[in-house]
Amino acid sequence: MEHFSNDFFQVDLYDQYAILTIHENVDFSLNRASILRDKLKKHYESKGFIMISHRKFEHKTSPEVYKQGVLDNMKGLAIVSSKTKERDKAILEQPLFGKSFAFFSTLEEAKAWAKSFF
Amino acid sequence: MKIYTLKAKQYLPVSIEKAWEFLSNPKNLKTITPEYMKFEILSGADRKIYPGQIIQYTVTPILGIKNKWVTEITHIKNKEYFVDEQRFGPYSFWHHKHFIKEIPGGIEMEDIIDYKIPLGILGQLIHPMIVKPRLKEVFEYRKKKLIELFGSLETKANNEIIFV
Repeated sequence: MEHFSNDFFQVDLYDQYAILTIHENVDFSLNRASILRDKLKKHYESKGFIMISHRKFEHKTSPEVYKQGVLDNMKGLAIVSSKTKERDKAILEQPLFGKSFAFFSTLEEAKAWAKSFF
Repeated sequence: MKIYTLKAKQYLPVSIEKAWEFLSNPKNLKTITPEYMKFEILSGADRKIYPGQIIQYTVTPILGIKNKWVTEITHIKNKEYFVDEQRFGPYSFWHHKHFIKEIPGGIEMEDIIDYKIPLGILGQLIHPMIVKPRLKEVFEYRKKKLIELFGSLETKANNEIIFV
């Protein structure tokens, strides 16, 4: 497992999935997402993986991140939160993503889903 | 005698256990049916699904006319399929097969409904104007609600609703 963190987010990169936690009140713009994108590109190269977004904290994700920042080999996105508000936000983000997209209340469920792709 | 067929497929990012638990529970029908249809279960949904289960409900599908429906769960294969058949209601014939199967990342859900509408030639005339669009609307609504509840699964095949 490879770990990376900066002022905006932290990410744990496993073989089949990456667990992303964006820090509180961060505006996750395309520029900030490009740092993550580079890490993912380097770690997974062309190998498929699932992104697990662990929404422990409130933050904003720019729609541009979905429109321009998603790697082709990212097969799906799991949103993990037990908060209804986060789930409602995710429902609005879903059409922008255009790939497999699922909601979970625990990290364990999201990991099981990610593994079921491979 | 014209028998119509509706086929719908949807892909969901859930385990087969979770999909079966949700889809085979009659109580969840209200959640995935448009509100304007005023779907209400009257009886028969207090146990887990079993062959011979009779479920009575009211629904207001067209022109605000309240209909009583009685369906029987006739066939079940755990985590694979179940069939409901109308015993009393607005259709002359209604046979609804619900299939689920595991695929990478989730499940494929397939519905096949064979149905016949009453009123002979008149029924066949109103089918493309009223019945078919309304059924399509109901399935589109269900698709949207299931995405809201569980998410969506990208596959090579498309989510589709077709009439044969």
